[in-house]
Parts: sequence; C-alpha cells; structure tokens
Amino acid sequence: MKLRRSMLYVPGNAPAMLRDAHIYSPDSVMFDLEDSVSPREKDAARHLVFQALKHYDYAGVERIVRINGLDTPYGLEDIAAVVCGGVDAVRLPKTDGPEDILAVEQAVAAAERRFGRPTGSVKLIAAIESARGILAVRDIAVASPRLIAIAIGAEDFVTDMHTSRSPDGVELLTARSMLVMAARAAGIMAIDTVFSSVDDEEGFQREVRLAKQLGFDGKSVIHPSQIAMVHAIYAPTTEEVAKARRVIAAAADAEAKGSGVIALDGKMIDKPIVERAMRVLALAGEVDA
Amino acid sequence: MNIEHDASSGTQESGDARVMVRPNAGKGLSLELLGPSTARYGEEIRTVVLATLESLGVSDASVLIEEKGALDATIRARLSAACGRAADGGSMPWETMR
Amino acid sequence: MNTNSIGRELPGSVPGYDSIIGFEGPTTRRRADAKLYASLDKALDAVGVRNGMTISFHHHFREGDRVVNMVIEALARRGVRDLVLAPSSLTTIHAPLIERIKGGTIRTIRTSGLRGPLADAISAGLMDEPVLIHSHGGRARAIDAGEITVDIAFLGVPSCDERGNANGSSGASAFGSIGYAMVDARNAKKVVLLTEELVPYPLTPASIRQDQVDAIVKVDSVGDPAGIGKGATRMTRDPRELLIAQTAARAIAAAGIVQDGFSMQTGSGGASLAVVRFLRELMLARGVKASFALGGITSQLVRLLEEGLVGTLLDVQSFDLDAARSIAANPGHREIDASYYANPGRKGCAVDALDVVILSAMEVDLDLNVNVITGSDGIIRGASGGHCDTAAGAGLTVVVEPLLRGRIPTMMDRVTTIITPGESVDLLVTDRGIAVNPLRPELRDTLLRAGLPVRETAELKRLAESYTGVPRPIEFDDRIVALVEYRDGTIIDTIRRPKGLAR
Repeated sequence: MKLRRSMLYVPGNAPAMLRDAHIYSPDSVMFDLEDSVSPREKDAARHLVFQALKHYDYAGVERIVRINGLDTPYGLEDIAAVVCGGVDAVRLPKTDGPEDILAVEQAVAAAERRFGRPTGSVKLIAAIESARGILAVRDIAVASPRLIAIAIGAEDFVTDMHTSRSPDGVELLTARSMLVMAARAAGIMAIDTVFSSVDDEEGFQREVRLAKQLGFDGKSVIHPSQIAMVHAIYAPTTEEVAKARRVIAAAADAEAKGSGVIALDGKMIDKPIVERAMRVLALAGEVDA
Repeated sequence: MNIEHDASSGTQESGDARVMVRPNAGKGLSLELLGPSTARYGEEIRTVVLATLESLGVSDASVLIEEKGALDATIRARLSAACGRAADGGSMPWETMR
Repeated sequence: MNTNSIGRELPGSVPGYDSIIGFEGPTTRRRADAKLYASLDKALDAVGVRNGMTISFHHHFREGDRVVNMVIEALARRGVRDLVLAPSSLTTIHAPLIERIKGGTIRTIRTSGLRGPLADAISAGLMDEPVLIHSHGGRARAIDAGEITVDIAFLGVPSCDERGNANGSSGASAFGSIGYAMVDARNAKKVVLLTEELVPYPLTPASIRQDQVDAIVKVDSVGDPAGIGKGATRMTRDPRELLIAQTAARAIAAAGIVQDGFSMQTGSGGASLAVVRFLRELMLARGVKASFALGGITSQLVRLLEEGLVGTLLDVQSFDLDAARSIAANPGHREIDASYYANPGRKGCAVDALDVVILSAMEVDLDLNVNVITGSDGIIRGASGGHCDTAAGAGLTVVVEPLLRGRIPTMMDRVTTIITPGESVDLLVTDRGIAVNPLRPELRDTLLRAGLPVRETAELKRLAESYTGVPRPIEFDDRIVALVEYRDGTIIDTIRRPKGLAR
C-alpha cells in the first residue's frame, strides 16, 4: 500500500534541491515546473528536472512533476520531457473538469508511445484549485484509471471564492470534504494543500490534524522540517497498531479455515475494517508501502 | 540544431553553472571552462559538454561555462537550455539527449 | 665570622648550609607603574629582542586580532630578523605577515592553523622552512615540555591592572576564556601584555597573573569586536545540516551515551553545533543532565547550563559574547587552559574524560582518516585545532559532514592531509548514511538495531562519485611546505606544494 503522507515540493529551478530532495524521507517528491518557476525560466527548469529524473537516484521515493497546464505554451513540452525522463506521476494544476484530465491523459499516452514507456506507467494527480473544479470533483476523480490522487490547492481556491485563508480553515471545509468524498468514492487518495508558514509549527500541526481527521491521506509540504511532523501525526498509536494486528490475524485465521466470516472478540469484522487495519499497519511501517 | 544567436542559461550560485552559447558557423565546437571544478573535473566536464552537443545535433558553437561546483546533470541542463534558446525554440530531441 | 649590612655576625657556613649569604638591605617596593611602558618600542627595549627569538601570541581575537600584525610590524621596524613565530593559530587577518616573511623578519612558523592569503602564499612555497602544524593539545605539550621555548609572549588582553593581572572577560573587546594564552603566560621567558584599558588593582580573577608579566603597553585597540564574534552563535537552519545533526544525535543516543552525568563536546557551527539542539530534546525527554560540556563554548551550551541541563562548562575558547558574558558571571562556567584541555604529555587532560565529541571534517577517507586543514585543491585553509586531541580522548568520536559540498566529494580513497587518524574515529555521519569504524562491530550492530542507516565507507564513496564523477588527483611537487605534528610530537603527515603554484 503506497503511502503518500508527505509530498515534498521542490522548485524545478533549484539544482541542489532537486538532487537532495529524497534524503529527508518524504513519501513522494514533487518537482515543480509551474508556479515556482518564472516564465523566462520555464525551459531551463524543464531541462533541470529532466536531467534529475534521468540521472539521480532517489532511493525508491516516488517522483512526481507538477507540469504547466496544457492551456500554457509549456505544458506539452513539459509532458514530453518528464515522461522521457522517467517520472512516476504527472500532477496537473488547476483541474476544472474531467476534460482537463482526458487532455493530459492523451498527451501522456502519446509521450509514453513516443519514448517507449509502457502504456499506463505514468500516473496522474489532479490539483483542484477553483470552485468549478470542486463542484466537478466527483467526475474528475473517476475520469482516468491513471488518476491516483486528487489534491486541493488552497491559495488559488480561496482567491476564486473571494475570500482568504484563516487559521481554522472554515472557508476550505466544504471543498476539503467534497474532495475527500470524491476520492473515497473513486478509490483514490486525497492530498491536502501546502502550509506556507514554515516557522509556525503549531499552526502546521493543527492543520495536519484537521486534514487527517477529515480523511486526507497526506499533505503537500514545502520544507523538509514539515515531513517528520506529518509522519508523526499520521503514525498510529500503539493501541491502534495492536488492535490492527489482531484484526489482520483474525482475517488470516478465517481464510485458513476457508471461512468467509471473520470474527474478533465475539463480533463480526467486515471488509472495510480489515482494510482499515491494513492502512494502520502500513502507516506503522509494518506492511510494505 | 543550429545555433542562430547568443544565448545563456544558469547562474553563478553555488552548485550551478552559467552557460553562454554563441554561433560559430562553419568552425566547429569551441569550449572555455572556468570555475573551481576545472582543475579536477575539467576532462569529465568537457566530455559531458561534447556528448550533450552531439545529442542535440549541434556541430558549430562557441561555449563558455562558468561553473560553481555544478554536477554533470546541471551542466547538461544549462547547456541544453542555452542551446534551445540560441536556436530559437523548436522541440527538444528528448529521446536522444544525454 | 662575617658581619652583614645590619650589623649582625654570621658564620660563613653551618652544618647543612654550605654558604650563608648575608643580608644587604631590604627589598625595594615595586612601583605601581614599574611595568608600564609608554609604547611598544619602549617595552621591547626593556624586555630585549634578539634575532632568532621565538615569539608567541594567542588567537582569542579570531578574525578581529590586531596584536600579531602590530607587534611584528614593530619588530620589523627595529630590524629584528629570523624570528620563530609560534602563535596558537593564525587567520585571514594575518595576511600582512607575507611581507614580513619575505623581508626576513619571520623565519619559520609553528601554528595550529593558517587561512587566507598567508595560507595561500605558504602553500605556494613562500617559506624556506616548512611550517609546523600542531594541535591545541600538542602545542601545550611542546611548550610545557620545553620543545618550544617561548622567548617573548605578546598577549593582547581587553583590560588589565597596572601590575599585570588580566583576563579575557572584562573590557570592551572582551572575548571570554583566555585559555590558550595561559599556557604561554606560564612558560614564556618574558610576557608582554598589550591592553586597551588599564583598570585599578587588583583585576580579578587573574587568568594571567602579575607574577607572570614583565611589561604592559596600553594601545588603542587590541581587537576589532566585529571580527571577534557575534552576540550569539546562530544555529544553522540548513535542512541538510539539520538532517545530519539529527541523525548524529540518534546515533549517539543509540550508543547509550545520553545518560545522567554524561559529558560532551561539539563544534561551533554547522551540523556539529546543531547536534546540541537534538541532544537537548533527548535530554529533556529523558530527564537527563550532563555533567560537563567541554571546548569551544557557544551560546547554545550556555543555555544548557542556564537551564540546568549541564552541570559545568569547561571553556578553553568562548565563541560568542553570550559565552563571554556567562564565563564572567556564572560559577558553573569555568575557564580552562589549553594544557588542562588537551595536553597529552602531562598527568592527564580533560579530553580523556569526554564521553562524546562531535567534529566536522573537510575530507574523510575509506579508513576514516580525517582532513580539516587542506582544501580540495591541496591549499592550506584550516586548522588542526583540538580535532585529534578530542578524537583520541573521547569515548565516542563522531565526525559529521555532508557527502558532497558542491562538486567536492567529502569521502575519498585517501585524504589529502591526515590530521586525525581513523583509529580515533568511531562514527562518520553524513546526509546519506553512517559509517562505523570496523574496530567497533558491536556499535555497528547497535545502530542497525536502532534502525539507523549504516553504510560502508566504500558505499559512501561510490555514492559521492556517482554524483561528482571521479576527481583527478591533485598533483603536488616535491616541496614540503608544512609538517603536520600529531598531538604527541610525532609527525603524522606532510603538506606539499600543489603543482603549478611554484613561485
């Protein structure tokens, strides 16, 4: 079960950061060609990310690239470069509807063919950053079998909503909830937005706890110091781990007996409980991520 | 790829390289390498530069690299970007690029 | 029978006393200003300077030092030649010595470190005699044992009283501990104090004592406060250095070091200082109090003392004004001299009591030998310092460094210059994994069980080279520009001139 608790943002135009991103043990690294790169440097960043993907060893950490949208002069060439470079997943910004996913999927498939990569090997992540996008999130989440996660981009979203971000995030509540629901309905992951105040550790942890409580699988982070905090908050307690082990043992027991009924402490355990137990053990590092 | 005019890419920050590419029509390739890594990595960097230019199909160019401890991947990236800018756009041959 | 000057009859000798020398009159009272000289030149006249003398200085003013250049300038003006310069260390501020060497004022140098244009010039073969590089403990040993006889020690102090009592923590240019100078004051044939400020007698505590001092000169400035140090040492915020520091702290904890009463020494910056942050968190979580912290003291260690997390600070060099303030005010913060700190020659020194030391490095090799003095171009730009002393003494020696610095790999087949032998190093902690000395297999197992990323040195080297490529070896010519003395007086390595630098 792949964990995506932490997705470390790395600006695509920072050579040293591209090289070292994985040493902080994030679950994924995300090289950005979009908002953190100025228009004049889009081409240069594309080359840096291409070379990093091709030549640097990331010790198994998942590599994602946030491309520029296909509605910009850069998006198509970004896709060519990163697919050729070997990226694991492409993240599209500003996804407003399923048609955006389909357009990128088409371009990615063409690039896979052009560069000899197995069809479907490049996954997609969609960032939703507008009211339209949130309202269409149900359809977005099922638009492609390559889509592994949907994420919310809070800054652009609140601007679109004519409001601003607040510490308790009430302005994001509905959007976050809808995003998680759509992700669950589609069987994919939900990733929460970045928290930009690197020095506000307390505020960050509050937001991560909120995201976890809402059902998010993880969070985008912009600084290595945030990674350990996210992992700590997502780490199950010893009690949760002990309980999960017992559930898995009961499930294995039932299977060994050829029984379809899993029982634990006199109660029936159904499939969602077993799946939750597996997630707990994965978060505890006891099941391969 | 034909180098049509002067172009550059990259910075002189630590770990980066500033690459300047100029047309050198009919005169082949010339490379000037400056920076702290030259003494110990000059040959390696030269090889990387020639291989990159070859993979881009650039046969005539004058290249100046001012590096500050840039690794090969960074030098390749900066050089490719500079060539792309000097050749006035068009698509990159990603599949042949080294 | 003889009669002494006060009219008493004395025998020439009695059993047990072969010669009795008669009283000749009372001793005279020394005047308050007897040692005060109106100028450095007058002081030099009084103490007497000859060609070929050995003169010494301390380096507590660090980059703000004004004393060395001032004194050498004065000596050059007098036509003194062939001096043996034996400061505790030299920094970039001492570039003017190049001309003094060329002019013949200085013949040879013994020092812990060299930096800047002077180091570049020496690397290029400026001096006919190789410089002797020694550690802090080794210098104390040599001076104490008489291998280096200091004829005149010129010691800059922020203030002193007119009879020569001085310390490093009172006055405008205060720097804290004056530990390096104390060895010179005790052993030099003559001691000249240069001070910015004369204060009423007695200045206490007297780190340098009136009964060690021959002459005092008041000058405008002994040090530039901006070059001496900042108010507080800033801990790094670089994520890579913090990662290394955190990994090192985890390894130190796994090794069982963080127990009540443990002792430590850390570096003064980068990852080796940042370890304090993570050790502190562990100490708070476990309710552990350290017995002492040793060495170069920074504001982070002062904070530990003030929080009650460490019992005593043993300070041979104060790195910032927080430390300077603390040593003057806090009884738990004690000044020690370089011999007490690290002299291997005498009856024991503080480094032997250390449980753990965290050191930085410029280069480390497959055998864990460490270089902290020559750069990747073979040029001198660092210091031996207390590195080999603490590495030898500490129960656990941890070297921290990033695997790469730009395009420079820090892991290699053989280091350019060996300052600290690999047998003294237990752990090398990088941002890509930890290498453990093969002489400590149980430590390796302990770290593995703790889930720490243990690697072979060969793996780390391969990883470094996968990024940088294999560097062409530096070529040196036959000229030896420095001898590197290990703390016990034996020569551990030589520094040659890089080819192409010959003047």
